[in-house]
Amino acid sequence: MGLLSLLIFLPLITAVFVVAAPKQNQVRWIALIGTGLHLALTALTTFKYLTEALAGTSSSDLLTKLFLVEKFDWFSSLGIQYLLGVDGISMAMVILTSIIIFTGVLASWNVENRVKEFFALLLVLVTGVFGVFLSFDLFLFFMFYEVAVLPMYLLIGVWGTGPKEYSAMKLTLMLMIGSAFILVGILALYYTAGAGTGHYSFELNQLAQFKFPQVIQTWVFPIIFIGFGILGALYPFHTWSPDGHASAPTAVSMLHAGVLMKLGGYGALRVAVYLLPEGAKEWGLFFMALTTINILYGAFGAIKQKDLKFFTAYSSVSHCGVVLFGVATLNLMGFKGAILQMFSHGIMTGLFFALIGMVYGRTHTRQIPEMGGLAKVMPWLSVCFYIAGLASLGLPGFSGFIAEAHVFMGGFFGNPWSAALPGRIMTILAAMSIVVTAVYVLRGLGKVFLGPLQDTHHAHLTDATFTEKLTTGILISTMAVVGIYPQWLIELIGTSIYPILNRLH
Amino acid sequence: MVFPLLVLGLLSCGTGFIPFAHFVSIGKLEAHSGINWAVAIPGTLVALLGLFLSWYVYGKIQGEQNKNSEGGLSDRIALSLGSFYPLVKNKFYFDEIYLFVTHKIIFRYVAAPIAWFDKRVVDGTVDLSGWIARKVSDAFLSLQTGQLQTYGVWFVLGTIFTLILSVATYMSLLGFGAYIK
Repeated sequence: MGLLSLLIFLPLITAVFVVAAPKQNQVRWIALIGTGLHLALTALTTFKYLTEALAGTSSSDLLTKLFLVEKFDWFSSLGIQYLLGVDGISMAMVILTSIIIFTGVLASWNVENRVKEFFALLLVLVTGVFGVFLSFDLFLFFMFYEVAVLPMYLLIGVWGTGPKEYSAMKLTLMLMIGSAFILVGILALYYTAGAGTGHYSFELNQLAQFKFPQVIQTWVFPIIFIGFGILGALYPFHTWSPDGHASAPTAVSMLHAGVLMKLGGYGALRVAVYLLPEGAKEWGLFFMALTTINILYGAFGAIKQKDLKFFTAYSSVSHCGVVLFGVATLNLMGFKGAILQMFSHGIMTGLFFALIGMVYGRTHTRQIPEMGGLAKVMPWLSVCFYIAGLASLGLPGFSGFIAEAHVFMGGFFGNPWSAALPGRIMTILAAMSIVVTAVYVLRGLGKVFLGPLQDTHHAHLTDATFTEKLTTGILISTMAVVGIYPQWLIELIGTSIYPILNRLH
Repeated sequence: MVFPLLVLGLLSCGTGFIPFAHFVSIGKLEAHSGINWAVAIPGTLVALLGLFLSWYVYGKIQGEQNKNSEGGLSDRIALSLGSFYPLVKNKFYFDEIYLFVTHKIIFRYVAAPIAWFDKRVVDGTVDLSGWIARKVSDAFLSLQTGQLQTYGVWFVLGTIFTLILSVATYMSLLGFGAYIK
């Protein structure tokens, strides 16, 4: 078993151990050790990738160069392969996912109900996520995509809060519609390229070598982009997200907003823009407009929310809009920003949802008006919340700043295929969301943590435990490392963006 | 508080002599070419005038006021300015304008309608599509009641429909379409 296969299936193996564990209280430790090992394995892979890739890629590549490749025929009659590989973009996403699942397990330490099933499903889900980021055969990619989406239904439906069955059903159905779009798009590309070359294949780079006719570019691009966009909370297909996040248990919200929503942006860039550059040029401005709505709409929507989870979910709609906005700019700066924003938002929103879980575990309410003055009783959690909030509004020094700066500069530069003025106007509008974000973050957090203690029952609540400090500490230091020294991440993704960009020219 | 002010004050006296142009420049050109007296002299004079006036109106009179109760120079100036004085005193009500714009306009007429629109219209559409799917499946439910008579009726109706369809197709294939028209 190669390194990448191990990277994908280690969570699944851990899940088997979790199921086989004789005692309930061993489950958490097994999950923690499994995900901890995964973190180490990710570090090793990153190291191996960097040593191989720095010499092997250049900014004039026309096809995505893959490293640590594992390839063998799976269903050869259909041209389906088991093809794993890694490039800079995948590597960044794997690092993100690895951090989020490790902290997610730590944040689920207090789950009491059906512990085994919970952790097993969580690990199966993350297997799917790693699979998506590392497979370069579109069939395999799609299969892992489904593995990542489906366990969510049970995780929310069984361990959720509030109208959990409704939210789980809505989330799953909407994401299935997205999957259907993606599948139709992928099959269209498979058949067109197959009929054109006489060689049917799902391999991403094989498909990329075929020049798709204009009519396919024009009609398949939006189908695939919207399909992934549904998972990336593209307006107006985002409504699964607030309900889903609000009902999901802590670790599931973390994984969902932190990682799963990134599959949307990742797929849009990796599949839609990479394979259909002409379509991307035609639809660039349209999707830029849609994501501008996303960014502002999510931010304004967040102002009026009373529930902390809804509040963060709307903020996620806004921030994930920034990812897709970056993809729609179709230039180097925008693509870089989109990936940085995926990473940055993943960590930041993971922190947000972890903190909400910790606060809710103490106050047993998520209603903003019912809380107040909590900074007096839980100083650690309050400071962490404020750090997450400031990172969310793009404070320099945290990862969000560098990401949004890239995206908005990319938007302002524009690209040679669409009119500059509309793009610039939309960029200005989208950048104004930073002010709106400052309004809702500072208002919301001010109400919860500052001022006199609202509820006397809250007076004897405790501050963060050791596990909680560890969880928040890991996430905050990651944000700070990326914020203060983003160069390593930019270099990691750097040359891998060029193939996508070069195919546009 | 005096000590930090003292330090800052002393330092600011010397700041002008630091040749910033050597450190901050546009390319290789020095961006700065010595002091501009036309700006420096009036600027300093205005500042000194301001300092003197504020001392004359508030500082000096304040001392007298303590002896002679009220009606000092500052009050008289304030009165003579009429409604302009409260306007200046409240910073032209800019804070109030900001609050009004955010709370009464943006929150009420932008944020609230968006939150409503999202809940009712966008989300409502999603719920509506689910409702339609349920209603359609309800309609088809009556096909599968387990009641033999219902199956019989549907069977007969279906057979008649298929017969008509196949006869029509057959006739059109043979070219009877033209006669029927």
